Amino acid sequence: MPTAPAEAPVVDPGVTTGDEVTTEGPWDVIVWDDPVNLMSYVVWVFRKIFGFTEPVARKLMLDVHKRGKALVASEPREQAELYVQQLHGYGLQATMERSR
Amino acid sequence: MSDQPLAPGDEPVVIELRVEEVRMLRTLGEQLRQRLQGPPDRVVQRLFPQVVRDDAALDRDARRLIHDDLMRERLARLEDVLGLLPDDGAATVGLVDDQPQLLMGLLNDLRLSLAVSVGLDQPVEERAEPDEATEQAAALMDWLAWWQERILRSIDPDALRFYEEESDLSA
Repeated sequence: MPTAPAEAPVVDPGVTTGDEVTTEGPWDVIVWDDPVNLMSYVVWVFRKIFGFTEPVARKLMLDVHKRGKALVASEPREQAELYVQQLHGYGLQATMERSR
Repeated sequence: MSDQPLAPGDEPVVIELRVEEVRMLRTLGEQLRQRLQGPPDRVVQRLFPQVVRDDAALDRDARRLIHDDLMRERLARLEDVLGLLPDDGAATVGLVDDQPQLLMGLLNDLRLSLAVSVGLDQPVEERAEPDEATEQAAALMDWLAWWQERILRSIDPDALRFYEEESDLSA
């Protein structure tokens, strides 16, 4: 399993809702290999959505290409959903799952 | 979308399309629109894939949550880009603001649609022997890819750097 890049957004372990604090942990956003999307396009999408530097975006793209997947963010659920939605909007195969 | 801008220069990205390219973009765009507005098929499934792994109920809820937004975005992107093109004839188009990004996303939707329609989205070892339709789709995908990278050279040339620096891209 690839590790999250140093530039990945900071994880917020809990969400405050009034007096309650949920204890749900972060969700991992994972991008899966796809034989159609161009490698350059994937680098661009990573840079555009996450603001990664080119070396970080390239490393993650190559993880996807060579290992079949890459962990691109670990975030509270709502933010993870937003990232997955943006990635799907650009045609990347991305899923989210609870961090382990 | 809260996408972060890249190289947000004031200079438009100018693309020149021949008459047959305009016609092909319109044809492929119309086919995509019909698929998006029709009953879900494999192309639509590919454009709206799984959201949550290992939890079918959560996946269903999450897909429901984002599906309508994504569909609106896709259809709006399609209309915006086709709206830049003449009804017929060659075109010189200056893309400004978010238009290069919209075109990039649409070109990718078109590539994915073509790939799925002839099975080129499957792993190489699982594909059928290519027939004429597959070869035509592959040629169109190459053409769309050329345009994607032509636009990338203008809006984010760093995204192409690895081609020069990575000597071994095999798995």
